[in-house]
Amino acid sequence: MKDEKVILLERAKKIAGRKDGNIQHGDTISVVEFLLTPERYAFEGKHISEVLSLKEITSIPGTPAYVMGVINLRGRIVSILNLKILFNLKERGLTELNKVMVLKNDNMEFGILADSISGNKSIFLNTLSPPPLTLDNIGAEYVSGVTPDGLILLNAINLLSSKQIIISK
Amino acid sequence: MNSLNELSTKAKLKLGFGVIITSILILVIVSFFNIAKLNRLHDEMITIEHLTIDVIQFHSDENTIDGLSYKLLFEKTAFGRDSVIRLINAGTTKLESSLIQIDSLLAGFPEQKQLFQRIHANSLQYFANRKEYIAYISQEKIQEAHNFIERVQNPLIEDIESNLLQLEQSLDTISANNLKIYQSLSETINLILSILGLCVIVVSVIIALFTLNMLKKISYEIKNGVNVLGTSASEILTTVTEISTGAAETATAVSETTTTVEEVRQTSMVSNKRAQSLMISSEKATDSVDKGRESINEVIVSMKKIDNQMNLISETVMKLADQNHAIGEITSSVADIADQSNLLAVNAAIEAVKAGEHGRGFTAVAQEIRSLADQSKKATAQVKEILNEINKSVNHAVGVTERSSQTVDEGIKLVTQSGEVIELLAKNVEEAAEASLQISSSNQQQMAGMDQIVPAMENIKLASEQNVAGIKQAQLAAHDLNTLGQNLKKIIEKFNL
Repeated sequence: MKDEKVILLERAKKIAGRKDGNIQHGDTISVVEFLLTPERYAFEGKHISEVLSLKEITSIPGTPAYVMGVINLRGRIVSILNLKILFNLKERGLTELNKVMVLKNDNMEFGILADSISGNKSIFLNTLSPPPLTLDNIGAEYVSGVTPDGLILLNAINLLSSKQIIISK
Repeated sequence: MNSLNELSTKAKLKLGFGVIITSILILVIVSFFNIAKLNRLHDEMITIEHLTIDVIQFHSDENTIDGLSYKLLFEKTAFGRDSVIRLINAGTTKLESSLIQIDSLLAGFPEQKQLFQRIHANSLQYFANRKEYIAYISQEKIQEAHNFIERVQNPLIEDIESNLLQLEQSLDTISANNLKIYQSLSETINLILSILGLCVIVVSVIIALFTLNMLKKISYEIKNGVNVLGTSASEILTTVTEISTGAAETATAVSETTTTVEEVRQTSMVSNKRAQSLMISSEKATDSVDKGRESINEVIVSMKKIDNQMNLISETVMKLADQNHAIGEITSSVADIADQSNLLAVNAAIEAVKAGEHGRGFTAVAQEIRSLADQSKKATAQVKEILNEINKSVNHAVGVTERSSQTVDEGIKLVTQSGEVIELLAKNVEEAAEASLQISSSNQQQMAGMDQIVPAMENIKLASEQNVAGIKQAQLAAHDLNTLGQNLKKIIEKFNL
């Protein structure tokens, strides 16, 4: 019985997928999709250093609320951020927040908490729509766009070089 | 006077009546004495009267005879003489008897008697001489007769005559004296008698008053007593009437009781029979109870076996659950591995992207790893579902086992309860059997008792009948008593003192 259901669900998805989009040509980017309940977000793959499971997090006192703490990543100390707090997203439903995506550029390295990593995706740049006006200014800064199927592409570059997240001394 | 008052009524009465009697006695004695005196006097007087009369008669007769004698002188005829002689003889006889009579009468008068002796002697002589005279007459010797009379008889006659006169005088004197004595005596007697009589009357009056008073008191007491008697008698009458009715009721009750006793007897017999049949039923019930007990024991044994089986099943199921749990853990670790593989695949893809051109082949590898991870996830998910199913079934089985166990326990409880009930039943049956035995024996006793009661009842009946008769008699007696009281009352009222 359950196998049938699974099969039917998959078929429905496939059909739904076909309806939504035609095969588009043009530039594609590879993104990594992750889940921040209930919304699906993604970062560009080239900014992501790695993904891993959150094992131990050490919270640092005196840090802003969006800084959950630090982890020991193969000897390196990496700070972990909670985008929900950063973007003032309302908590909706239960979240796991046990996966970490490490964003890295030349200057900055930090991890983003996620509920789950869905995986690699390729999206067409020309399918991206601009972010909706309902998001507040902070969010608007870091959102690159929204895909037709509701995937919010975040701007990793902006996030990495954001002055807001640098803890002033 | 005080000492007189202190004497008891009896003594007073005795004294009073004693006084009366004594005074009467005295009176009587005195009277008798005086009356005797008077009588003597009277007798004497009468005697003297008789004497006087006799003497006078004698005198007269004497004179008559004397006359006759003279007459004889002048009788010529023999017949005449004979008749005269007869007369003379008759007269003589009479005179002689008179002489004797007077003589006897003069017994109490010695003087006169002496005097009369001479008369007597002279008369006798005269009579004796008469014979001679008569002889003369018969011989018609009239002159001799006349001379005889003149010579012999006349002096005698004169002597007799003078003596007679003397006698008569003395008798008169005596008579007069006696009369005087009589009168004085009678006066004396009158005086004495009147005095004594007065005394007697006074004493009698006093005593009569006293007796009257006492009688009044007594009658008053008697009246009261009679009243009390009357009331008591009427009370007794009512009580006796009540008792009579009560006795009658007792009699009826006794006869009712007798009939009831008979009924009870009958009932007893019936009850006895019932008790017997009850005993038989009890025995049968006891048998059934024993069988019931056996069945229950068997059931309990089976239940216990079932329980054991249930326990075994439970254990097995527990083991199954444990193994399920183990499988679950393994599945979790597999899922973990899948997850990590996924991450690894993502990392690989990222590195591949970073590698650029050189990393394309690596991308495919990463994809493969990814799909492998997905497959693992799916498989794990399926296994999880199956495990869930198994878990559910196991829980269901556990639940069922537990319920079965509970049911078995309940069953055991029920059976035990039934067992207890049967035990109770057995006890009750035993008690019933005992009770029926007791009923039977008590019935026997009851019947024996009844047999005793019946004659006792008969006795009571007889006794009560006798009672009734006795009460009737008592009633009559009380009635009589009542009438007596009434009569006494009337009598007392009559003698209203």
